[in-house]
Amino acid sequence: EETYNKYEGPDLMYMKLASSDGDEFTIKKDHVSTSGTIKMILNPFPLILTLLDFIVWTGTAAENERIEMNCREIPSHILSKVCRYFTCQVCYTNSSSEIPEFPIVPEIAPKLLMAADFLDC
Amino acid sequence: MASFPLSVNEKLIARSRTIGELLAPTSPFDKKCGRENWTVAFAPDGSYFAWSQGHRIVKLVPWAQCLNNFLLHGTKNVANSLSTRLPRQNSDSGQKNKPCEHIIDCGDIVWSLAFGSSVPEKQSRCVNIEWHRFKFGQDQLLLATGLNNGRIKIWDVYTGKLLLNLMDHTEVVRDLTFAPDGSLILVSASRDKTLRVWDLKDDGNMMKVLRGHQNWVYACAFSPDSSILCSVGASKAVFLWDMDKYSMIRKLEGHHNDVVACEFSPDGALLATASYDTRVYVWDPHIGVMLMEFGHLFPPPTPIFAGGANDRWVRSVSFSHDGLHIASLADDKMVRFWRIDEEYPVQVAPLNNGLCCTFSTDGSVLAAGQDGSVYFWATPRQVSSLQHLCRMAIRRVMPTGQVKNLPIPSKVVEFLCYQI
Repeated sequence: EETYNKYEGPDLMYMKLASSDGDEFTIKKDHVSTSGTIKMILNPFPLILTLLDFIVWTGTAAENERIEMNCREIPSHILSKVCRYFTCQVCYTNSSSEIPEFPIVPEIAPKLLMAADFLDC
Repeated sequence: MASFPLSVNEKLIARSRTIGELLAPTSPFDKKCGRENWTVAFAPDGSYFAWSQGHRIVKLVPWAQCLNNFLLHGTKNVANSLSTRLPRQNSDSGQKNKPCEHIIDCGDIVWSLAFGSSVPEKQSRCVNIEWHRFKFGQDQLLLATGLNNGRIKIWDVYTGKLLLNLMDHTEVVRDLTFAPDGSLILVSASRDKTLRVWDLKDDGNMMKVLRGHQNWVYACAFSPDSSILCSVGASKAVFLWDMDKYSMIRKLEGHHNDVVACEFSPDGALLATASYDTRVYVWDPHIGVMLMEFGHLFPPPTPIFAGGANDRWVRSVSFSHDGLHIASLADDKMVRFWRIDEEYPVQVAPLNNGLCCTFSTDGSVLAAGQDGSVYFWATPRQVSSLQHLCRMAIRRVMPTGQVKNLPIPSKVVEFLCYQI
C-alpha cells in the first residue's frame, strides 16, 4: 500500500526517532506532534537553529526531506515507551471511550520523565 | 460577592454534562427524619455505589447497571423504578457475580458511609493477616455506616446483612474511612473530638483512640499507601497521624475556619482540604507546606469574614483518579471542577444544597448528594501529559524528602514536588 512508502517526498507521513543505543523507531508524523519539541522541528519555517544538531537532513530540495531525529540522551527502552505514549495520546484524545491506564514501572519513571521533559509531552 | 474573580467571565466556563440522577422516593407521611444527604460513596473496585437517602435509609446499587440505566433510559431516573429493573436481594444467594441492589434501614440518621474491601488497592503493608470469627472470604466488600448516636454498623455489600455493630463513640460519627491496603482497618471521626481505629478482621476490635482535636472532628482520609491518616475538624484543625505508631506527625495551619473535608491525591503527594473559610487548600503532606489555593469567593475574604458565617462555605472536596483534577462543592449552589495547575475552574455545574461529592473509582463521573438525591456529571478528562504520568509513578513510591535527593535538575525536582 502506498502509505508505507511515504517516507520521503512531498507527502511526508513518517519520521524516524533514533535512540542513544542505535535503535530506530519509525513513527507517524501526526502522532509525533504530541511532542512540543518535535512539533517545533517539523515546522516548515524552522526558526530554531540551535536544535539542528539533533536533526539529519538529507537531500537539498524541500520535496525530498527525510527527517530523522537523533535523541542522543534517550535509550531505546525509554524511547519505545515514549512512542507508545504518542499512540495512546492520539487514540484517546477527543474520543468518548474510556482512557486506559498507561502503566509506568517506577524503575524507568525518572528517565522517562527526563525524556518527556526534553520532548515536552 | 462574586463566585469568580473579575478576570474570569463566568459565561465562558464550560458546563459539565449531566449523566444521570438518582432521586429519592417521595414519602410525605414518613417523617422519621430530614432528607439530608450527608454522604455518597463508590466501592474501591467500582462495583457499587451507596448513598444515604435520609430517613435513616442507605441505598446500595451496582454501579455498572446504574450507569447502563442512565444511558438507556435517559438522565431522569426515579429510584423506585430503578429497583424494578435490578434483581432484588435474595437471602440465599450472596453470589458475587449477580450484584443486587439493597435498601438498608440503619435505624438512626446516617451521617457517614465508607466501603471497605479486603482486596488491597495497593500492595498490603500488613504481613500478618489473622482470620477470626468472621471468616472473611477472598474478596469481602463491606459498607460501614456512621450514625447519629455514635454507633457504627457494618454491612455485607453482597448480601445486605448486618455483620457488626461497633459502639464506642458518644457522639455523631461524622466520617468513616477504610485503609486502602485491604487490611479492613476502619477509622471513624466523631463529634466527641476523637478518632477511633477499628480492626474489622479482629471482630471489630477497637485498637486505638486518637486524641488531639479540641473540637468536632469532621472528616478523615488515609493516604494511598495507608501510612498516614489526615483528620480535619472545627477550629481550623488539620492533623496528620502516623498510622504505624498512631502518633500525630504534624498540624497544618492556614485555614481560617472549620475544616470539613479532606482527601489525598492518588499518588499520595498532595492533600486537599476544604473549609468554611471559602477555600480549598492543597498541601504537601510530607513536608507540611501549602502549595495551592482554590477560592470560591472574590475578592478573597479577610480572615475575620472567612472565619465566620460567610454564605460561601465549601462543603466537600474530591481528588480525581488522574491526580490532575479536583472537584469542590460550595454553598453558592455550584460544583466546580479544577485542574491543579490552573487557577480557575475548568467546568462548573449547578447544584442546590449540595453537601457531599465524590469521584467514581475510575474518575469518569462525579457524584454529588443533595436532599436525599444524587446527581452525576461526566468529568473533564483527557490523556494526561507523559510528564504528569511519570510524576505520579514516581510519587506513588517516593515521599518529598527522597525526591529532593534524586540526581535530576532542580526544575524537574520542583515539578515532581508539585511546586510549579
